Amino acid sequence: MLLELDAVTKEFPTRGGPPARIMDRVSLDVRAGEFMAVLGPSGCGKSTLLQMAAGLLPVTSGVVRVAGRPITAPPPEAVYVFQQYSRSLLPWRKVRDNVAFATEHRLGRKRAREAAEAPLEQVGLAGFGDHYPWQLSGGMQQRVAIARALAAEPALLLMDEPFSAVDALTRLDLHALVLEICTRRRLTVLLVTHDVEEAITLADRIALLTPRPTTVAEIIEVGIDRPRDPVATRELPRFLELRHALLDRLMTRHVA
Amino acid sequence: MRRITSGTWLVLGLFALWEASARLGWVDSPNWPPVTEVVAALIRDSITGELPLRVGGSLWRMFSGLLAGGLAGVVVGLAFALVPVTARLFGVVVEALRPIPVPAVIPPLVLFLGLDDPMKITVVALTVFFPVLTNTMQGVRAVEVEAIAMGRTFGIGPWRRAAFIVLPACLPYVLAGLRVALGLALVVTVVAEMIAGEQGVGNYLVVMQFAGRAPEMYATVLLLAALGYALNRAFVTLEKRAIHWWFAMGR
Repeated sequence: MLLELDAVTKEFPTRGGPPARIMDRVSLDVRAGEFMAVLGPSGCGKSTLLQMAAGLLPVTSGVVRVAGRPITAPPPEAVYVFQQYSRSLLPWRKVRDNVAFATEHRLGRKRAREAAEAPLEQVGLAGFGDHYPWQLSGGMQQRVAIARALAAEPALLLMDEPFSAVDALTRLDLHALVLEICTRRRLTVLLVTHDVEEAITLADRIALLTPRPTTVAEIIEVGIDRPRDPVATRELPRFLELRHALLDRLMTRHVA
Repeated sequence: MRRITSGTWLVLGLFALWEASARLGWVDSPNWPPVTEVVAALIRDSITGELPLRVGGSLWRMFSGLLAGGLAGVVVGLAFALVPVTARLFGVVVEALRPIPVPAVIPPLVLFLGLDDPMKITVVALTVFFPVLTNTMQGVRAVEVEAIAMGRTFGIGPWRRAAFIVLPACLPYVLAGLRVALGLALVVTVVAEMIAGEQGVGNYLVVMQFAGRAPEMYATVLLLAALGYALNRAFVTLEKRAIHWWFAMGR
Protein backbone atom coordinates (compact mmCIF):
# COMPACT_ATOMS: atom_id res chain seq x y z
CA MET A 1 0.00 0.00 0.00
CA LEU A 2 1.33 3.41 -0.88
CA LEU A 3 -1.37 5.31 1.01
CA GLU A 4 -3.44 4.01 3.91
CA LEU A 5 -6.12 5.82 5.83
CA ASP A 6 -6.83 3.88 8.99
CA ALA A 7 -10.04 4.80 10.87
CA VAL A 8 -9.51 8.49 10.16
CA THR A 9 -11.91 10.72 12.07
CA LYS A 10 -12.17 14.50 11.80
CA GLU A 11 -13.96 16.84 14.13
CA PHE A 12 -14.15 20.62 13.93
CA PRO A 13 -14.80 22.73 17.02
CA THR A 14 -18.11 24.56 17.06
CA ARG A 15 -19.03 27.69 18.97
CA GLY A 16 -20.34 26.63 22.35
CA GLY A 17 -21.54 23.17 21.36
CA PRO A 18 -19.79 19.81 21.11
CA PRO A 19 -17.31 19.39 18.22
CA ALA A 20 -18.90 18.58 14.86
CA ARG A 21 -17.84 15.18 13.56
CA ILE A 22 -17.62 15.51 9.80
CA MET A 23 -15.72 12.30 9.13
CA ASP A 24 -16.20 9.05 10.97
CA ARG A 25 -13.59 6.27 10.90
CA VAL A 26 -12.77 6.43 7.20
CA SER A 27 -10.45 3.62 6.09
CA LEU A 28 -9.04 3.53 2.60
CA ASP A 29 -6.07 1.77 0.97
CA VAL A 30 -4.52 2.98 -2.24
CA ARG A 31 -2.14 0.49 -3.88
CA ALA A 32 1.03 1.60 -5.60
CA GLY A 33 0.30 2.39 -9.26
CA GLU A 34 -3.43 2.55 -8.70
CA PHE A 35 -5.77 5.38 -9.67
CA MET A 36 -8.44 5.77 -7.03
CA ALA A 37 -11.29 8.24 -7.22
CA VAL A 38 -13.16 9.44 -4.16
CA LEU A 39 -16.71 10.26 -5.12
CA GLY A 40 -19.24 11.86 -2.88
CA PRO A 41 -22.05 14.39 -2.63
CA SER A 42 -20.95 18.01 -2.26
CA GLY A 43 -20.26 19.07 1.30
CA CYS A 44 -19.32 15.56 2.44
CA GLY A 45 -15.76 16.57 3.29
CA LYS A 46 -13.94 15.15 0.27
CA SER A 47 -11.38 17.96 0.30
CA THR A 48 -10.88 17.56 4.04
CA LEU A 49 -10.17 13.87 3.48
CA LEU A 50 -7.61 14.65 0.79
CA GLN A 51 -5.90 17.34 2.87
CA MET A 52 -5.48 14.87 5.71
CA ALA A 53 -4.08 12.32 3.27
CA ALA A 54 -1.61 14.99 2.14
CA GLY A 55 -0.49 15.82 5.68
CA LEU A 56 -1.82 19.37 5.25
CA LEU A 57 -4.53 18.97 7.89
CA PRO A 58 -4.20 17.08 11.18
CA VAL A 59 -6.53 14.13 11.85
CA THR A 60 -8.61 14.10 15.04
CA SER A 61 -8.02 10.38 15.46
CA GLY A 62 -6.83 7.53 13.28
CA VAL A 63 -3.66 7.22 11.23
CA VAL A 64 -2.54 8.22 7.74
CA ARG A 65 0.37 6.16 6.39
CA VAL A 66 2.39 6.88 3.27
CA ALA A 67 4.68 4.04 2.15
CA GLY A 68 4.08 2.46 5.55
CA ARG A 69 5.12 5.48 7.64
CA PRO A 70 2.55 7.36 9.73
CA ILE A 71 2.59 11.02 8.65
CA THR A 72 1.83 14.29 10.45
CA ALA A 73 3.32 16.64 7.84
CA PRO A 74 3.37 16.59 4.01
CA PRO A 75 5.43 13.52 3.01
CA PRO A 76 8.05 13.81 0.25
CA GLU A 77 6.28 11.13 -1.84
CA ALA A 78 3.05 13.07 -2.25
CA VAL A 79 2.07 16.24 -4.07
CA TYR A 80 -1.30 17.95 -3.76
CA VAL A 81 -2.96 19.53 -6.81
CA PHE A 82 -5.43 22.26 -5.92
CA GLN A 83 -8.89 22.91 -7.26
CA GLN A 84 -8.20 26.65 -7.45
CA TYR A 85 -5.19 26.54 -9.78
CA SER A 86 -5.17 30.33 -10.12
CA ARG A 87 -4.64 30.71 -6.37
CA SER A 88 -1.91 28.13 -6.09
CA LEU A 89 0.12 29.53 -9.01
CA LEU A 90 2.38 32.47 -8.17
CA PRO A 91 1.38 35.39 -10.42
CA TRP A 92 4.74 37.18 -10.10
CA ARG A 93 6.57 34.18 -11.53
CA LYS A 94 6.62 33.17 -15.16
CA VAL A 95 5.29 29.72 -16.04
CA ARG A 96 8.79 28.19 -16.09
CA ASP A 97 9.61 29.65 -12.67
CA ASN A 98 6.31 28.45 -11.25
CA VAL A 99 7.21 24.91 -12.29
CA ALA A 100 10.76 25.35 -11.01
CA PHE A 101 9.36 26.43 -7.65
CA ALA A 102 8.60 22.79 -6.85
CA THR A 103 12.26 21.82 -6.89
CA GLU A 104 14.45 24.91 -6.55
CA HIS A 105 14.79 24.53 -2.78
CA ARG A 106 16.43 21.18 -3.46
CA LEU A 107 18.15 21.66 -6.83
CA GLY A 108 18.95 25.36 -6.81
CA ARG A 109 17.42 27.93 -9.14
CA LYS A 110 19.39 27.12 -12.27
CA ARG A 111 18.94 23.36 -12.27
CA ALA A 112 15.30 23.66 -11.25
CA ARG A 113 14.64 25.93 -14.25
CA GLU A 114 16.30 23.44 -16.58
CA ALA A 115 14.32 20.60 -15.02
CA ALA A 116 11.08 22.52 -15.60
CA GLU A 117 11.22 22.12 -19.38
CA ALA A 118 10.43 18.39 -19.49
CA PRO A 119 7.20 18.54 -17.44
CA LEU A 120 6.08 21.62 -19.35
CA GLU A 121 6.54 19.73 -22.59
CA GLN A 122 4.70 16.74 -21.16
CA VAL A 123 1.60 18.80 -20.40
CA GLY A 124 1.72 20.40 -23.85
CA LEU A 125 3.06 23.77 -22.77
CA ALA A 126 6.49 23.73 -24.40
CA GLY A 127 7.17 27.30 -25.49
CA PHE A 128 4.95 28.86 -22.83
CA GLY A 129 7.68 29.07 -20.19
CA ASP A 130 8.09 32.82 -20.57
CA HIS A 131 4.40 33.61 -20.19
CA TYR A 132 2.85 34.62 -16.92
CA PRO A 133 0.11 32.28 -15.61
CA TRP A 134 -2.54 35.00 -15.85
CA GLN A 135 -1.84 35.32 -19.56
CA LEU A 136 -3.07 31.74 -20.07
CA SER A 137 -6.54 30.19 -20.16
CA GLY A 138 -7.92 28.30 -17.17
CA GLY A 139 -7.17 24.91 -18.72
CA MET A 140 -3.60 25.95 -19.49
CA GLN A 141 -3.15 27.25 -15.95
CA GLN A 142 -4.23 23.88 -14.57
CA ARG A 143 -1.70 22.28 -16.95
CA VAL A 144 0.99 24.50 -15.39
CA ALA A 145 -0.10 23.32 -11.94
CA ILE A 146 0.12 19.69 -13.12
CA ALA A 147 3.54 20.30 -14.66
CA ARG A 148 4.68 21.79 -11.36
CA ALA A 149 3.42 18.72 -9.52
CA LEU A 150 5.23 16.43 -11.99
CA ALA A 151 8.46 18.41 -11.59
CA ALA A 152 8.63 17.23 -7.97
CA GLU A 153 8.56 13.64 -9.31
CA PRO A 154 6.02 12.41 -6.77
CA ALA A 155 5.02 8.79 -6.35
CA LEU A 156 1.58 9.88 -5.19
CA LEU A 157 -0.59 12.57 -6.70
CA LEU A 158 -3.47 13.92 -4.61
CA MET A 159 -5.91 15.82 -6.80
CA ASP A 160 -8.71 17.94 -5.35
CA GLU A 161 -11.40 18.39 -8.02
CA PRO A 162 -8.71 19.69 -10.35
CA PHE A 163 -10.96 19.88 -13.41
CA SER A 164 -14.07 21.39 -11.87
CA ALA A 165 -13.22 24.99 -12.73
CA VAL A 166 -12.74 24.50 -16.49
CA ASP A 167 -15.24 24.09 -19.31
CA ALA A 168 -16.44 20.65 -20.47
CA LEU A 169 -14.21 20.35 -23.56
CA THR A 170 -11.12 21.50 -21.70
CA ARG A 171 -11.97 18.96 -19.03
CA LEU A 172 -11.92 16.12 -21.59
CA ASP A 173 -8.53 17.34 -22.84
CA LEU A 174 -7.21 17.33 -19.29
CA HIS A 175 -8.64 13.83 -18.70
CA ALA A 176 -6.72 12.59 -21.75
CA LEU A 177 -3.60 14.27 -20.44
CA VAL A 178 -3.89 12.77 -16.96
CA LEU A 179 -4.64 9.29 -18.35
CA GLU A 180 -1.54 9.46 -20.51
CA ILE A 181 0.77 10.85 -17.82
CA CYS A 182 -0.34 8.40 -15.15
CA THR A 183 0.19 5.45 -17.45
CA ARG A 184 3.59 6.68 -18.58
CA ARG A 185 4.87 7.61 -15.13
CA ARG A 186 3.14 4.78 -13.22
CA LEU A 187 1.78 7.34 -10.81
CA THR A 188 -0.45 6.50 -7.90
CA VAL A 189 -3.37 8.91 -7.79
CA LEU A 190 -6.07 9.75 -5.30
CA LEU A 191 -8.59 12.00 -7.03
CA VAL A 192 -11.46 13.70 -5.28
CA THR A 193 -14.43 14.58 -7.46
CA HIS A 194 -18.18 14.94 -7.53
CA ASP A 195 -18.24 14.19 -11.26
CA VAL A 196 -19.36 10.56 -11.76
CA GLU A 197 -18.21 10.37 -15.38
CA GLU A 198 -14.82 11.78 -14.50
CA ALA A 199 -14.38 9.16 -11.78
CA ILE A 200 -15.28 6.26 -14.11
CA THR A 201 -13.17 7.59 -16.98
CA LEU A 202 -10.01 7.96 -14.91
CA ALA A 203 -10.09 5.53 -11.99
CA ASP A 204 -9.34 1.87 -11.35
CA ARG A 205 -11.44 1.93 -8.19
CA ILE A 206 -14.03 4.35 -6.89
CA ALA A 207 -14.59 4.96 -3.18
CA LEU A 208 -18.15 6.14 -2.71
CA LEU A 209 -18.67 8.35 0.34
CA THR A 210 -21.82 8.92 2.36
CA PRO A 211 -23.12 12.36 3.42
CA ARG A 212 -21.89 13.70 6.79
CA PRO A 213 -20.62 12.31 9.01
CA THR A 214 -18.69 10.86 6.11
CA THR A 215 -17.82 7.19 5.87
CA VAL A 216 -16.90 4.97 2.94
CA ALA A 217 -20.17 3.49 1.67
CA GLU A 218 -18.64 1.16 -0.90
CA ILE A 219 -15.56 0.60 -3.01
CA ILE A 220 -16.30 -0.18 -6.65
CA GLU A 221 -13.98 -1.78 -9.22
CA VAL A 222 -14.29 0.10 -12.49
CA GLY A 223 -13.00 -2.79 -14.59
CA ILE A 224 -12.42 -0.93 -17.85
CA ASP A 225 -9.19 -1.81 -19.66
CA ARG A 226 -6.36 0.64 -20.20
CA PRO A 227 -5.27 2.53 -22.19
CA ARG A 228 -8.54 4.42 -22.14
CA ASP A 229 -9.75 7.15 -24.41
CA PRO A 230 -11.81 9.76 -22.56
CA VAL A 231 -14.34 9.95 -25.41
CA ALA A 232 -14.70 6.29 -26.42
CA THR A 233 -14.75 5.06 -22.82
CA ARG A 234 -18.02 6.91 -22.32
CA GLU A 235 -19.77 4.68 -24.85
CA LEU A 236 -18.82 1.35 -23.24
CA PRO A 237 -21.65 -0.69 -21.69
CA ARG A 238 -19.66 -0.97 -18.45
CA PHE A 239 -19.31 2.82 -18.30
CA LEU A 240 -23.04 3.34 -18.74
CA GLU A 241 -23.90 0.67 -16.21
CA LEU A 242 -21.59 2.22 -13.59
CA ARG A 243 -22.77 5.71 -14.39
CA HIS A 244 -26.36 4.65 -13.86
CA ALA A 245 -25.64 2.87 -10.60
CA LEU A 246 -23.48 5.65 -9.14
CA LEU A 247 -25.81 8.50 -10.10
CA ASP A 248 -28.67 6.56 -8.59
CA ARG A 249 -26.76 6.28 -5.32
CA LEU A 250 -25.65 9.94 -5.27
CA MET A 251 -28.83 11.70 -6.32
CA THR A 252 -31.06 12.78 -3.50
CA ARG A 253 -34.31 12.31 -5.38
CA HIS A 254 -35.97 10.59 -2.44
CA VAL A 255 -35.34 13.63 -0.24
CA ALA A 256 -38.30 15.95 -0.68
CA MET B 1 5.75 66.67 -26.82
CA ARG B 2 2.61 66.12 -24.82
CA ARG B 3 -0.07 68.76 -25.05
CA ILE B 4 -0.36 71.08 -22.11
CA THR B 5 -3.38 70.00 -20.10
CA SER B 6 -6.01 72.23 -18.54
CA GLY B 7 -4.56 71.48 -15.09
CA THR B 8 -1.20 72.88 -16.14
CA TRP B 9 -2.90 76.00 -17.52
CA LEU B 10 -4.56 76.50 -14.13
CA VAL B 11 -1.19 76.37 -12.35
CA LEU B 12 0.27 78.88 -14.84
CA GLY B 13 -2.80 81.08 -14.36
CA LEU B 14 -2.33 81.06 -10.59
CA PHE B 15 1.31 82.05 -11.04
CA ALA B 16 0.17 84.92 -13.28
CA LEU B 17 -2.34 86.00 -10.64
CA TRP B 18 0.43 85.86 -8.02
CA GLU B 19 2.70 88.02 -10.18
CA ALA B 20 -0.05 90.56 -10.89
CA SER B 21 -1.19 90.75 -7.26
CA ALA B 22 2.34 91.65 -6.14
CA ARG B 23 3.27 93.96 -9.05
CA LEU B 24 -0.02 95.87 -9.12
CA GLY B 25 -0.19 96.20 -5.35
CA TRP B 26 -3.35 94.11 -4.86
CA VAL B 27 -1.56 92.56 -1.94
CA ASP B 28 0.55 95.27 -0.40
CA SER B 29 3.10 93.60 1.86
CA PRO B 30 6.89 93.37 1.98
CA ASN B 31 6.34 89.63 2.51
CA TRP B 32 4.56 89.10 -0.82
CA PRO B 33 7.18 89.28 -3.57
CA PRO B 34 6.25 88.68 -7.22
CA VAL B 35 6.71 85.07 -8.36
CA THR B 36 9.43 86.13 -10.82
CA GLU B 37 11.55 87.31 -7.90
CA VAL B 38 10.90 84.04 -6.13
CA VAL B 39 12.03 82.08 -9.19
CA ALA B 40 15.07 84.35 -9.49
CA ALA B 41 15.93 83.58 -5.87
CA LEU B 42 15.45 79.89 -6.54
CA ILE B 43 17.84 80.01 -9.49
CA ARG B 44 20.36 82.10 -7.54
CA ASP B 45 20.45 79.75 -4.57
CA SER B 46 20.64 76.76 -6.85
CA ILE B 47 23.67 78.15 -8.67
CA THR B 48 25.52 78.97 -5.44
CA GLY B 49 24.97 75.36 -4.41
CA GLU B 50 23.31 76.33 -1.14
CA LEU B 51 19.88 74.85 -1.93
CA PRO B 52 21.03 71.68 -3.76
CA LEU B 53 23.31 70.87 -0.84
CA ARG B 54 20.49 71.30 1.66
CA VAL B 55 17.98 69.38 -0.47
CA GLY B 56 20.52 66.60 -0.85
CA GLY B 57 20.97 66.44 2.93
CA SER B 58 17.23 66.42 3.55
CA LEU B 59 16.68 63.69 0.96
CA TRP B 60 19.47 61.61 2.43
CA ARG B 61 17.91 61.78 5.90
CA MET B 62 14.46 61.10 4.49
CA PHE B 63 15.52 58.02 2.53
CA SER B 64 17.60 56.67 5.42
CA GLY B 65 14.55 56.95 7.67
CA LEU B 66 12.32 55.50 4.97
CA LEU B 67 14.61 52.50 4.56
CA ALA B 68 14.98 51.86 8.30
CA GLY B 69 11.31 52.38 9.13
CA GLY B 70 10.12 50.49 6.05
CA LEU B 71 12.31 47.47 6.78
CA ALA B 72 11.24 47.45 10.41
CA GLY B 73 7.57 47.75 9.37
CA VAL B 74 7.81 44.82 6.98
CA VAL B 75 9.73 42.59 9.40
CA VAL B 76 7.48 43.35 12.37
CA GLY B 77 4.35 43.10 10.18
CA LEU B 78 5.41 39.67 8.89
CA ALA B 79 6.23 38.53 12.42
CA PHE B 80 2.92 39.78 13.84
CA ALA B 81 0.91 38.14 11.08
CA LEU B 82 2.83 34.86 10.81
CA VAL B 83 3.82 34.26 14.44
CA PRO B 84 0.73 35.14 16.54
CA VAL B 85 2.67 35.04 19.82
CA THR B 86 4.72 38.10 18.75
CA ALA B 87 1.51 40.06 18.12
CA ARG B 88 0.20 39.09 21.55
CA LEU B 89 3.48 40.16 23.17
CA PHE B 90 4.20 43.43 21.35
CA GLY B 91 0.88 44.37 19.77
CA VAL B 92 -0.27 46.46 22.71
CA VAL B 93 2.99 48.43 22.84
CA VAL B 94 2.73 49.20 19.13
CA GLU B 95 -0.89 50.28 19.44
CA ALA B 96 -0.02 52.53 22.39
CA LEU B 97 2.79 54.25 20.47
CA ARG B 98 0.89 54.65 17.19
CA PRO B 99 -1.41 57.57 18.19
CA ILE B 100 1.45 59.79 19.41
CA PRO B 101 1.87 62.68 16.92
CA VAL B 102 5.40 62.25 15.63
CA PRO B 103 6.46 65.94 16.10
CA ALA B 104 5.70 65.45 19.81
CA VAL B 105 8.50 62.92 20.18
CA ILE B 106 11.07 65.29 18.66
CA PRO B 107 11.86 67.18 21.93
CA PRO B 108 12.55 64.02 23.98
CA LEU B 109 14.48 62.47 21.09
CA VAL B 110 16.67 65.58 20.91
CA LEU B 111 17.71 64.93 24.52
CA PHE B 112 18.85 61.42 23.70
CA LEU B 113 20.04 61.62 20.11
CA GLY B 114 21.05 65.26 19.72
CA LEU B 115 20.09 67.71 17.01
CA ASP B 116 21.56 66.05 13.97
CA ASP B 117 21.09 63.06 11.68
CA PRO B 118 20.46 60.29 14.25
CA MET B 119 17.48 62.15 15.73
CA LYS B 120 16.00 63.13 12.38
CA ILE B 121 16.42 59.71 10.80
CA THR B 122 14.80 58.12 13.86
CA VAL B 123 11.82 60.49 13.62
CA VAL B 124 11.31 59.66 9.94
CA ALA B 125 11.70 55.94 10.62
CA LEU B 126 9.04 56.12 13.35
CA THR B 127 6.69 57.89 10.96
CA VAL B 128 7.21 55.33 8.22
CA PHE B 129 7.02 52.30 10.49
CA PHE B 130 3.28 52.39 11.28
CA PRO B 131 1.63 52.61 7.84
CA VAL B 132 4.04 49.98 6.51
CA LEU B 133 3.34 47.70 9.49
CA THR B 134 -0.44 47.97 9.09
CA ASN B 135 -0.33 47.35 5.36
CA THR B 136 2.09 44.44 5.65
CA MET B 137 -0.22 42.71 8.13
CA GLN B 138 -3.19 43.30 5.86
CA GLY B 139 -1.19 41.97 2.93
CA VAL B 140 -0.31 38.75 4.77
CA ARG B 141 -3.99 38.17 5.50
CA ALA B 142 -4.71 38.51 1.78
CA VAL B 143 -2.23 35.77 0.79
CA GLU B 144 -4.11 32.80 -0.69
CA VAL B 145 -4.20 29.80 1.65
CA GLU B 146 -3.70 27.60 -1.43
CA ALA B 147 -0.38 29.33 -2.11
CA ILE B 148 0.90 28.54 1.39
CA ALA B 149 -0.39 24.95 1.26
CA MET B 150 1.27 24.61 -2.15
CA GLY B 151 4.59 25.47 -0.56
CA ARG B 152 4.03 22.91 2.18
CA THR B 153 3.10 20.11 -0.21
CA PHE B 154 6.42 20.58 -2.02
CA GLY B 155 8.27 20.36 1.29
CA ILE B 156 9.27 24.04 1.36
CA GLY B 157 10.12 25.19 4.89
CA PRO B 158 8.54 28.13 6.76
CA TRP B 159 11.40 30.62 6.18
CA ARG B 160 11.48 29.96 2.48
CA ARG B 161 7.67 30.14 2.29
CA ALA B 162 7.78 33.54 4.04
CA ALA B 163 10.44 34.84 1.67
CA PHE B 164 9.18 33.39 -1.62
CA ILE B 165 5.40 33.15 -1.20
CA VAL B 166 4.17 35.48 1.55
CA LEU B 167 6.51 38.43 0.96
CA PRO B 168 6.00 38.72 -2.83
CA ALA B 169 2.25 38.16 -2.41
CA CYS B 170 1.92 41.03 0.05
CA LEU B 171 4.34 43.34 -1.78
CA PRO B 172 1.47 45.33 -3.38
CA TYR B 173 0.15 46.09 0.10
CA VAL B 174 3.62 46.96 1.41
CA LEU B 175 4.17 49.35 -1.49
CA ALA B 176 0.79 51.02 -0.93
CA GLY B 177 1.86 51.59 2.69
CA LEU B 178 5.25 52.91 1.57
CA ARG B 179 3.59 55.38 -0.79
CA VAL B 180 1.61 56.87 2.09
CA ALA B 181 4.78 56.78 4.20
CA LEU B 182 6.81 58.58 1.52
CA GLY B 183 4.54 61.63 1.67
CA LEU B 184 4.62 61.65 5.47
CA ALA B 185 8.40 61.19 5.48
CA LEU B 186 9.00 64.39 3.52
CA VAL B 187 6.70 66.34 5.84
CA VAL B 188 8.34 64.98 8.97
CA THR B 189 11.88 65.51 7.66
CA VAL B 190 11.15 69.19 7.02
CA VAL B 191 9.38 69.62 10.36
CA ALA B 192 12.26 68.02 12.26
CA GLU B 193 14.74 70.26 10.45
CA MET B 194 12.62 73.31 11.27
CA ILE B 195 12.49 72.45 14.97
CA ALA B 196 16.05 71.40 15.64
CA GLY B 197 19.54 71.71 14.25
CA GLU B 198 20.96 73.72 11.37
CA GLN B 199 20.56 71.23 8.56
CA GLY B 200 18.43 70.81 5.50
CA VAL B 201 15.64 72.56 3.65
CA GLY B 202 13.46 72.89 6.72
CA ASN B 203 16.11 74.87 8.58
CA TYR B 204 16.76 77.04 5.49
CA LEU B 205 13.06 77.88 5.35
CA VAL B 206 13.04 79.07 8.97
CA VAL B 207 16.30 80.99 8.62
CA MET B 208 15.01 82.85 5.56
CA GLN B 209 11.80 83.66 7.40
CA PHE B 210 13.71 85.14 10.34
CA ALA B 211 15.98 87.08 7.96
CA GLY B 212 12.94 88.57 6.27
CA ARG B 213 14.03 87.25 2.89
CA ALA B 214 10.62 86.50 1.49
CA PRO B 215 11.69 85.47 -2.05
CA GLU B 216 14.05 82.80 -0.67
CA MET B 217 11.39 81.59 1.73
CA TYR B 218 8.79 81.13 -1.02
CA ALA B 219 11.44 79.62 -3.29
CA THR B 220 11.95 76.92 -0.68
CA VAL B 221 8.22 76.26 -0.42
CA LEU B 222 7.92 75.98 -4.21
CA LEU B 223 10.89 73.65 -4.30
CA LEU B 224 9.32 71.41 -1.64
CA ALA B 225 6.06 71.26 -3.60
CA ALA B 226 7.96 70.20 -6.73
CA LEU B 227 10.00 67.72 -4.73
CA GLY B 228 6.93 66.07 -3.18
CA TYR B 229 5.28 65.81 -6.57
CA ALA B 230 8.38 64.33 -8.21
CA LEU B 231 8.92 61.82 -5.42
CA ASN B 232 5.35 60.55 -5.71
CA ARG B 233 5.53 60.28 -9.51
CA ALA B 234 8.84 58.42 -9.30
CA PHE B 235 7.40 56.05 -6.73
CA VAL B 236 4.34 55.26 -8.84
CA THR B 237 6.57 54.52 -11.83
CA LEU B 238 8.77 52.17 -9.79
CA GLU B 239 5.69 50.52 -8.25
CA LYS B 240 4.21 49.77 -11.68
CA ARG B 241 7.46 48.03 -12.60
CA ALA B 242 7.92 46.12 -9.36
CA ILE B 243 4.40 44.67 -9.25
CA HIS B 244 3.40 44.80 -12.92
CA TRP B 245 1.66 41.41 -12.41
CA TRP B 246 -0.67 42.98 -9.85
CA PHE B 247 -1.78 45.70 -12.25
CA ALA B 248 -1.96 43.24 -15.16
CA MET B 249 -4.35 41.06 -13.17
CA GLY B 250 -6.59 44.09 -12.74
CA ARG B 251 -6.40 44.12 -8.97
